[in-house]
Amino acid sequence: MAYVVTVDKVEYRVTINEIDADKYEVTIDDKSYIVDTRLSEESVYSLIVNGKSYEVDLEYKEGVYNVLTEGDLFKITVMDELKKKMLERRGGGAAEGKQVIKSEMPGAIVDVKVKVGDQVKEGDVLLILEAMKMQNEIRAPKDGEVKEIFVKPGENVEADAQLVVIE
Amino acid sequence: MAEYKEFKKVLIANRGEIAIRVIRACRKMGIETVAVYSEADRNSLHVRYADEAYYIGKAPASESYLRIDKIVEVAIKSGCDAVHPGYGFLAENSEFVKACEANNITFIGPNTESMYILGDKTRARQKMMDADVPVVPGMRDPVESLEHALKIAKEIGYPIMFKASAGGGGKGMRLINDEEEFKAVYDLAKGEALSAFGDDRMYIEKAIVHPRHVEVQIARDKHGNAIHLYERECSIQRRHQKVIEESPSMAINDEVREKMGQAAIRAVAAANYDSVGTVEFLVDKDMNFYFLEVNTRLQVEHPVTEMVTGIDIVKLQIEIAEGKPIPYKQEDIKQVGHAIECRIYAEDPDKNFMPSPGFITGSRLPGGPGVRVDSGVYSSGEVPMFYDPMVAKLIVWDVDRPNAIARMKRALREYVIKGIKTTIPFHQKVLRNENFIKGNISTEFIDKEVLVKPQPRKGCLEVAIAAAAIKEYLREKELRSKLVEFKETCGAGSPWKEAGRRAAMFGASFGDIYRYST
Repeated sequence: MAYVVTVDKVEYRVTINEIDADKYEVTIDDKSYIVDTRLSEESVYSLIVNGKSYEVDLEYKEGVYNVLTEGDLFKITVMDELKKKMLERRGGGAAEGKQVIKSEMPGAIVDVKVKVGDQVKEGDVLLILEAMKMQNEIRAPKDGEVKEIFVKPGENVEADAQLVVIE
Repeated sequence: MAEYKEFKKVLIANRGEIAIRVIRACRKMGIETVAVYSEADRNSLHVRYADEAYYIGKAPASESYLRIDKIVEVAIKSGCDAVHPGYGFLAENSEFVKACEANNITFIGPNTESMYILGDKTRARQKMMDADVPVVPGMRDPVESLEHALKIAKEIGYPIMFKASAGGGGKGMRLINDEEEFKAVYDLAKGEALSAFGDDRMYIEKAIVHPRHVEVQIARDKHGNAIHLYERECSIQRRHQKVIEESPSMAINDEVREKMGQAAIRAVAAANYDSVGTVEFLVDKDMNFYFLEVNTRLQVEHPVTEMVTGIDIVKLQIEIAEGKPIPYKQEDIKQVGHAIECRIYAEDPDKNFMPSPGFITGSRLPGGPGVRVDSGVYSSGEVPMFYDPMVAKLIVWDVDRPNAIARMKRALREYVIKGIKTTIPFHQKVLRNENFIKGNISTEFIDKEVLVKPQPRKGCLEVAIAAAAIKEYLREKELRSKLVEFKETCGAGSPWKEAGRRAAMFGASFGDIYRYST
């Protein structure tokens, strides 16, 4: 398989070739690596790359791979070449349109700072969520109009609960 | 030997790692333990480690761990002769101490009188001045006029802090470097205070530039014997919360160390204190130290002192509460090697330290020489959203600071906690920061050095890319196999509806399904 991998706005051409169970030949921009992988603790991988042993923590969320290694976080998108071309032809603006803001964690809604119809700017505080004795400001990820609010002050929410829609 | 009693059974009015720490000391001493737990903590480790456990109420602390009536009732019913409060919750609550005493249960901590004196900053400051313990120079009475203010500032010496009487928590204060500047901002500062707090009274205190937070662990028994267990360096803080502690401190030399130890003993003696406790000081760049406050409880960071002195502080605290004299003399206490503690919080350092409660799906503890983990969690346990986000403390000891840092780095590398986010990666960044390694730190270190400046990466980019690409390859492969399964099993019905259901189930979009089906 051939992929286009993006890290910090830099693109890399990557190919994956499965050569054995859990064993891959990986090329990154024409450099080749033999990678042996094993999974432990849900999302922690042991990788042996050209004989060197690494441990990485890998999480897939909404199209982005969050890869933690040696305490450093890499946010990586992986797309196969075909899909990328299709998106580019379509003019691929993913951040446009409606965006649902979800709760990152379970907690209690302390305050809702906006109402339906409000115009908000990126970074404006939408509501305050309390968890673990800490008050956390939930901010607007982009400019837009508040279309819908799903929660009230005093309400408890689960992780991933829908909070606000901005368009 | 003086008269004393020996506890048979102790109730621990706390949860998490500190409840476990106290249970460990009790078990070693042959004392039975009673745990209390809230609705959220039935599965917590402290319940499993104690000899007895009783439910005390709903998850919010106000309905469980802060319910003095319920906790005392459990202590009476289960036949406890003492209660250990841990830290936080009821540890510095004199009402709780009184309720215990009224029921003939010993509170493992200081007497209420000393708690009262030391619990209030203004009262404590006066007591310390009387006991010849240095306090931050200044006066708490509001200044009367510009002339008056300039006179006081001159006496104290610049730089000074001009503080609003109604302010606090870092708000309503201004650093002033010389007389000209003071003249220029005097009216302005008062005006700001008036609009911010509705009160324009201001007072003057000496400014401590690049302060370091250094504290002294002390122990004083009911017979007036007192020792200090040397200092802890706690300057690495985030939002006024300590995150890394060490002993010894690089900020002071042996002469100042000895002076601080003696000052700390005078400080607690002045309040007739009778337990283990901590005297906090600010230290400036010239090694002048100033009294901050006394923490009248066992502290989170007590393990670093245990590592360098070899003394079990919780056991000592229990023995003092039993009325036993301290079994050591000051000259018996040696500070050997270097210890570091990293507090592991359930917070996401890559998302502005957002709390991250939830289920622990995997856990692997570091081990090997010189490593200690005081943890409240285990694999498949839960970190509830109701309490403090600290889940564990990782402590290392080695012969000196460079070795201790190296050992901490390797221990952090081994430590795996999955399911929730933790501050382990953040500690890895701090531990390899050049200024941290040089010992060039202050209480502003995290905010001004680590969080603002981009930290050089150590992780290998190629490895991260390879891992993500392989995972994507596997994800697509799994999607394909599920699609084949779907085609074989779901031939009938509306294919559009089915595809929608399937897509939702596998987290795939219609596009993906379409791609693999053609």
